[in-house]
Amino acid sequence: MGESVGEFEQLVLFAVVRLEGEASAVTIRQDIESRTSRTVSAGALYTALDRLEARGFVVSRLGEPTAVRGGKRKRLYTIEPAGARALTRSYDALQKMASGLTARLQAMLS
Amino acid sequence: MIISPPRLALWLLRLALPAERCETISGDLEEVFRTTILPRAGPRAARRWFWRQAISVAFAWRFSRRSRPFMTPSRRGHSMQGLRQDFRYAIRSLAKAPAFTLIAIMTLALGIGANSAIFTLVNALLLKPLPFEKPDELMLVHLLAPDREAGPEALRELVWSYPKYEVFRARQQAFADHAIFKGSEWSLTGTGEAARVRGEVIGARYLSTLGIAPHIGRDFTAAEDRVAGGDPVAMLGYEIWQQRFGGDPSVLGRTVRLDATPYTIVGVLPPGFRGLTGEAQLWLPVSSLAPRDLAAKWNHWAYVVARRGAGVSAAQARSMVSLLGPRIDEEVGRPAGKGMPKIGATAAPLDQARVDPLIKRSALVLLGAVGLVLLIGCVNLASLMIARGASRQREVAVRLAIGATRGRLVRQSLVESLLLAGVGAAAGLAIAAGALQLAGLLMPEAGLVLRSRTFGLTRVGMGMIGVDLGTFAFTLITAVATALLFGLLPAWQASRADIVQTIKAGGAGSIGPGARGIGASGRWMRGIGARQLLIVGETALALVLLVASGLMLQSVRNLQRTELGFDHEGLVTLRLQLPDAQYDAARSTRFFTELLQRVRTVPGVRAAAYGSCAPVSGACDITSATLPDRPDEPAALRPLTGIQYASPSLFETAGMRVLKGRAFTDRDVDGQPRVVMINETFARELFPGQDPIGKRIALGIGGGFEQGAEIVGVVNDVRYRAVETAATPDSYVPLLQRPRMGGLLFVRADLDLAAIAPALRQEIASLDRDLPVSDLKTMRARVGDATWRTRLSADLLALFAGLALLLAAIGLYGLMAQAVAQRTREIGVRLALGAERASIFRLVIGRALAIAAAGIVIGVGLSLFSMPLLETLLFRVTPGDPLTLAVLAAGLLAVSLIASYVPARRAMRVDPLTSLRSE
Repeated sequence: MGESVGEFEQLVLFAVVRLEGEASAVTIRQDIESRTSRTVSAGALYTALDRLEARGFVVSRLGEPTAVRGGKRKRLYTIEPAGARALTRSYDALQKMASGLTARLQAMLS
Repeated sequence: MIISPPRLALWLLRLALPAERCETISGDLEEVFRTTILPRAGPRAARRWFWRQAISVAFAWRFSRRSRPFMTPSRRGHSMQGLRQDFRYAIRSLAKAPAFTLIAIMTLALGIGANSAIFTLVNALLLKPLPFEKPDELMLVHLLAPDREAGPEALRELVWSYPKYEVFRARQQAFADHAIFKGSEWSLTGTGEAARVRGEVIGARYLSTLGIAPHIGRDFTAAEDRVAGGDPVAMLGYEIWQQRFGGDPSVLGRTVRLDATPYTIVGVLPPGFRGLTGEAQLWLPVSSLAPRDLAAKWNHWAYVVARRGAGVSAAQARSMVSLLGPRIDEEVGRPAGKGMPKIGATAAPLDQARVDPLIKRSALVLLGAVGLVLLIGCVNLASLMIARGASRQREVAVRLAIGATRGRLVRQSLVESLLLAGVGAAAGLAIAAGALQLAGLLMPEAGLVLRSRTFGLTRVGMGMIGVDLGTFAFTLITAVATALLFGLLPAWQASRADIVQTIKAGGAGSIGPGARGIGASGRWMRGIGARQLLIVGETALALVLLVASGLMLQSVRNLQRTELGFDHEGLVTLRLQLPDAQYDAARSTRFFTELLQRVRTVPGVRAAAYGSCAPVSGACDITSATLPDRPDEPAALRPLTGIQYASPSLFETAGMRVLKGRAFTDRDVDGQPRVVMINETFARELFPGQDPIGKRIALGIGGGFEQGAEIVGVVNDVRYRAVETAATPDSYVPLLQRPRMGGLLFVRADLDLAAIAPALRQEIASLDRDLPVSDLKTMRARVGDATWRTRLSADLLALFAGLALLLAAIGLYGLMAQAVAQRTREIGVRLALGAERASIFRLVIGRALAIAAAGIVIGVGLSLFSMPLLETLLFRVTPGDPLTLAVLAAGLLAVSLIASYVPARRAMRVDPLTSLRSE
């Protein structure tokens, strides 16, 4: 049995995958907020990234400092094989459970 | 200007995050701040945004690294249960320490209560939107004219004459709706007892500009706006409709008599509406004014209220209005040959005009003061909580050891603070409600007219201000903020317990890091360093409040010592206004002469006189003067003088002194040569180094005085404008030579107001049954009215400063007492080794004084920095008054000495044997 990740962490990991080399907290947050149209709290995002890194799902490296950032460096994230595995497993489980049910859910909502 | 993120928020991030994360995270936030939020939301909102992000990150990192961003139902249930546990635990542990709990709740109740009460006042006076439709669109439009009294370049706001308003109406483009109005007063007769009733004369668009509709009946029509004649109509206020007509709807079409003229009632206005003057109960249309008043180009009497059109900002409206000034001069013209000043125009939001700026300042200063008191209370509580946390360190260590997370312990400690703050806030709300009610009882409405100098919008009796929804919301927010303020630092400290050290150390009274033993005297206070800093801080804040209240009390004393120029003790005044329709000049002179004779026969009355203007009320006529013996000056340079119409007995009755020449006599009547008296200041200004008696002066008041009159006497200066304002030139004119319809009766009597009033009313009624008496007051009360603002702020500030001083003393005492208690063993050892008791005493006192002195030094700095805020409220004392600072700093030091005396004596009396044996 391998490790799985929670819903918010899935969102974060998907964003990291989509953004490839450009995934920083700023871009990840924009990506999630624009796609899911829900607000992401800064505190939650940073602690989630920290947790994912601690579990070996993502790695980070430091970028170059820029003036717009007040001369501070940026941290860029890329996904690790373990992260890809955990994300696939969690998302698969979700999809399998959801399969064939979306129509019924829609019917209940309308 | 480069706008950067708030530095304090960056500092918070540095404090909360490990260094390697701090750089990238604050970099991220700065990037979004600069590139996205700032351009979109502006600097203020962007800084707020940055703060929210920083707090969110700092909290998440410190306390909830295990929490998830979106709460799942099961987890929420779990955490709710945990919270309930925390609450139960907090209640138990607070119940175990009743003394601490009681002190904490009392401190909070007083602090929060005072804040809620003052906030309710500020809210009612300054914050709540005006009760009109879209009030932020409303503006007052004024003319601007040079203010010669204030200086060559100064401008003052001026109200409108009707012809000038007509130019405004024809030319203006900034406003969608506008109307003129003015306050007025009539004698209401024919419906019960005769009374003076205040009201407004209004343009037909007045109500629609404000967005108010009549309760019943109709508004005035455009035809009633201008055309004189026709059926005179009036609208009633709701209150007067209830009182005089029993709320009967059939009142429409009936008539009321105002100054003996009948008016048909066409409408009743909604409850609570008192017009923009704040005290109107009756409304008449512009057509009720005499045609000559409407045609007078330079008779300025009308306020203009206007509602901005769609898409016009306040600044745009102001600049559009300012262009109208030259047009008005052009179309109305200027008084011929007088070289009258150029007219300008301006507009200001109605909201700004509603409260006297000084009352606004006082209210905000008081709000700041109660805020400081609460802050000092919080500091005391934080100090107590730290001490309490220290004594519970062992318990905390055990809980950590058996698996509690630090976050959970912090939360639990915070729950305890929240519980205390909640109970304190509930009690505080009760205190606030009680205080406001008491204030309402102590200060009846009459004493508390919050009227601005130029324009009286807020006539607010204390009785009308009570606890409302805003107070509730404010109290709730204050309670939470307070809990965080006094709970966060102790919670943090308590959770930092070192498990092994603490459990090993064992002793219940020992403090973690400081428990390492006895050091040199320099390290005497180790382990309570944070508390020491807190006490330094609260001493500094207490000094700031003391200085503020000291300065205000000095201002009050200076006000009370001010020579007003008349004797206000035992002087009663009342206002009479004879109706034009029934009295001409001769009849009014007869009336007043006879009234004075009758009043003088009333038992207890020593003297009676008639004048036109009450001292210290600031509502006297002003005119310009010329000296016929000298070459004429351009109008703009002619001297200005206040005009007081006086019966011969005024000077003696009011206790004024004739310094040169003579007072008026009964022989200075119409037909005799015109005579004038002037005050000292005017004499000095007009005739420096000369005798003014016998010189001639012409006054622009008509009645022959414009041809020149002889100066027969010089009288001492009287402060007519305000207690704070030095006398300006004044001229006295005999009433017998220049009769007036209205004025002020001065009566000097041995009896108090209640005893003399019925007899005065009876004498007036015996001469004219329908003549109402208004404004019946002792002169003492008038002086009180003129100074209540300063007195009230001073009294409240003194109260708050006293509280602050008490709290600071308690804080210092608590700290020293605990330090001594914890060091009993050390002191015992020192004594056993031969230390002198006096040196132990000096050690404790010295420490306390060092803390107090540090606080005082900081407090002096803070005072010098913040007292200029008080400047406009002070009278004859400078904000940085060195004597006040020195005296209060010394006083605070003395109080600190007293507060540390008991702990120091206790330390001195430690018995070495007992203290050593007890371990």
